[in-house]
Amino acid sequence: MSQFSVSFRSHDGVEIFYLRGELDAHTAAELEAAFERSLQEGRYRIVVNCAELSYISSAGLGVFMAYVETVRAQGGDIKFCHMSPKIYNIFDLLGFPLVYEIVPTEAEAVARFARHAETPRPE
Amino acid sequence: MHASLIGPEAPQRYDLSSLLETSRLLVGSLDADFILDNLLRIAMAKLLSTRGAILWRDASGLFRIARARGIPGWKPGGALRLPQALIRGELEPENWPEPLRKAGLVALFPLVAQNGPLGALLLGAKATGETYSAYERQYLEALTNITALGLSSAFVVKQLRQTNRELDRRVHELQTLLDLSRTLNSTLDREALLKRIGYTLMGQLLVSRFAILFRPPGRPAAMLLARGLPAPLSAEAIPAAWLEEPRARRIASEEAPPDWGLEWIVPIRLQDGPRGVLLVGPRAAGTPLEEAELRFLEAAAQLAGIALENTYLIETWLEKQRLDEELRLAQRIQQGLLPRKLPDIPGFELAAYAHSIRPVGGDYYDVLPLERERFLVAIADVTGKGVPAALLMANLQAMLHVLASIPMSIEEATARINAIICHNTDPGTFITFFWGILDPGRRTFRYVNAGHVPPLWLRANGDLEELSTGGLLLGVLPTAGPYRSCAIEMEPGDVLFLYTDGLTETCDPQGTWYDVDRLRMALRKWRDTPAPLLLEALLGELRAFSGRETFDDDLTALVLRAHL
Repeated sequence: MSQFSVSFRSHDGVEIFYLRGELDAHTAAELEAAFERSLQEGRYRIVVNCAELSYISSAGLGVFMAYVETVRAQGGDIKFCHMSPKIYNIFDLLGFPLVYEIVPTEAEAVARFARHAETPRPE
Repeated sequence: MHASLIGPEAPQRYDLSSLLETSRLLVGSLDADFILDNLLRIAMAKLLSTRGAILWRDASGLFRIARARGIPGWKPGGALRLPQALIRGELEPENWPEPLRKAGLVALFPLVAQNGPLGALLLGAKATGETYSAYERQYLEALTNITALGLSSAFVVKQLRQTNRELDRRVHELQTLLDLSRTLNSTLDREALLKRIGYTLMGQLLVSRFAILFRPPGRPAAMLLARGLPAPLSAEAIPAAWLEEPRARRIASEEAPPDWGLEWIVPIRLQDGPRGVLLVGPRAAGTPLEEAELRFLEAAAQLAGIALENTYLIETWLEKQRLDEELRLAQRIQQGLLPRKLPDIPGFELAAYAHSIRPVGGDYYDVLPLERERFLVAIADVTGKGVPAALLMANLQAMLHVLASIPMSIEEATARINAIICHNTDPGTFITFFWGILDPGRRTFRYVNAGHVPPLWLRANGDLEELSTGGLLLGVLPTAGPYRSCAIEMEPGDVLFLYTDGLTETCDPQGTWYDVDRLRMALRKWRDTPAPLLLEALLGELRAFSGRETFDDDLTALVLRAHL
């Protein structure tokens, strides 16, 4: 049975998910629960730190697709950071970089939210 | 290599070591983009030109702008129709096509690889206004010749990388199908299955909108999953022809309202034919699905179809198991309602047989000892078969056992039973019922026949009478008038034969009923035989008549024979 866990941290109004282990169809429910929890608490700015993520399947990637429209509709987003080349390769193969921001560090991902927040919105 | 480049007259920036160093830098990278960018930049810098471009011949023979600098309106990817002679450097600038002259280009250096011209480097006039010197031209020619070879290799490498990447994608698709297969086999929970299918599709194809229409065996098609659709989509709204689609394809705009937001239709086909469709919306990246991805979707849809089908089959199997278990219980209960052992009746022999074609049936018989050494003998046939008939039969049995202990005439008791059955059952449900009270001491038998096939009274003297006195069958009308009874006196050797119509309706292979006449003849034939043997002989004859070991209908028979 694959092992997977998600832990959390809030920083500058951004919820950071720390993924650990193997994210696949069996463990997707863990990540799903993490998103549900964030959404219930009104946290729509999410950074996914993949430093400890060792494997991701398409079903695991599907969880991000399942929530991205909801968080974006609320003015938030899902951004990724600290991807190993192996994990990035899977994201890249499937075209995720066209839809999501993938940056090297957590600080940069959080900063991108801050930058976005400073951009004045049209009335 | 031009010898003049090595000569002492060559300016320093055109010397051989500079050429070699530049060539090594470009060719060594094996990166086509890097080579193109730098070739143009170096050429413009060396020749002090403010404009330049690299044209590249595509597969159709058109020339594409691979790189352009300093030329207004020239953008990478733009196409130019140019004579092939130009690319070979065979035309003088004054004969060049208008677009090149208009772009201010004055010098052309072919990029020629082993398999022919690939394209050309073009440059504008020198910023200083001077014309290009022979050294400069020779230097550029040497550079473009070397670079063309490098470019050719770089394109091979690029193609290999693309092929590798494509291979990676196919491997990942296979891995996803394998994951899906494993996942789908790991649960029979339909909701969990649908969620996993959904996540896999979303992750693999970057879609957030899809629907699964599925037609389980023996049931109508249902929309099992519809995610991210702008409006609810019912199974009935899906065109019937979509269920017959042989391959995955794009949905034409006239086939579905745009507000469905669905772009692709993928058949869910199992071995025995179409079972549903997977409908997929646009990709988040906006790119269309490629042929290989459609094949992936077909395979995924088939896996999903098998897994979904299994959930329905298991569900049906479990339901059947549950029903079977309930039926087994009902059977045990019903068997408990029939007499386990027939009582000993002084001066009489008794034998009984009951066969039900289903685990539970609607035939009933009973022999109950009463007060004052009398015995209640009853037989009944409930309309219908299976559990409903068995329940009604149980109802009748309970009433008989209660009424047996209450001092009441058999006529009145029959009327009471009729009233209760009428009250408790739906119209169209009824019972044919015959019962009587045997007083063995007096050899009398008082009976009431409520619409049952008349039992046969075969007398020792050879006469045969039908016991039909009584009234309407039970459960038809609550107040149909009083039931009448009749008493007979049984002499030694008399036989009373009670049965249900399954006996006389037993058919031979041609479909002819056994009928009452054959029964009468058989009874006469074996009237001197003890009751159990008489019954056994009759059943043997019935089996021989039907040509089968088992009977096609519920069949019950009871033999009461007075000792000689």
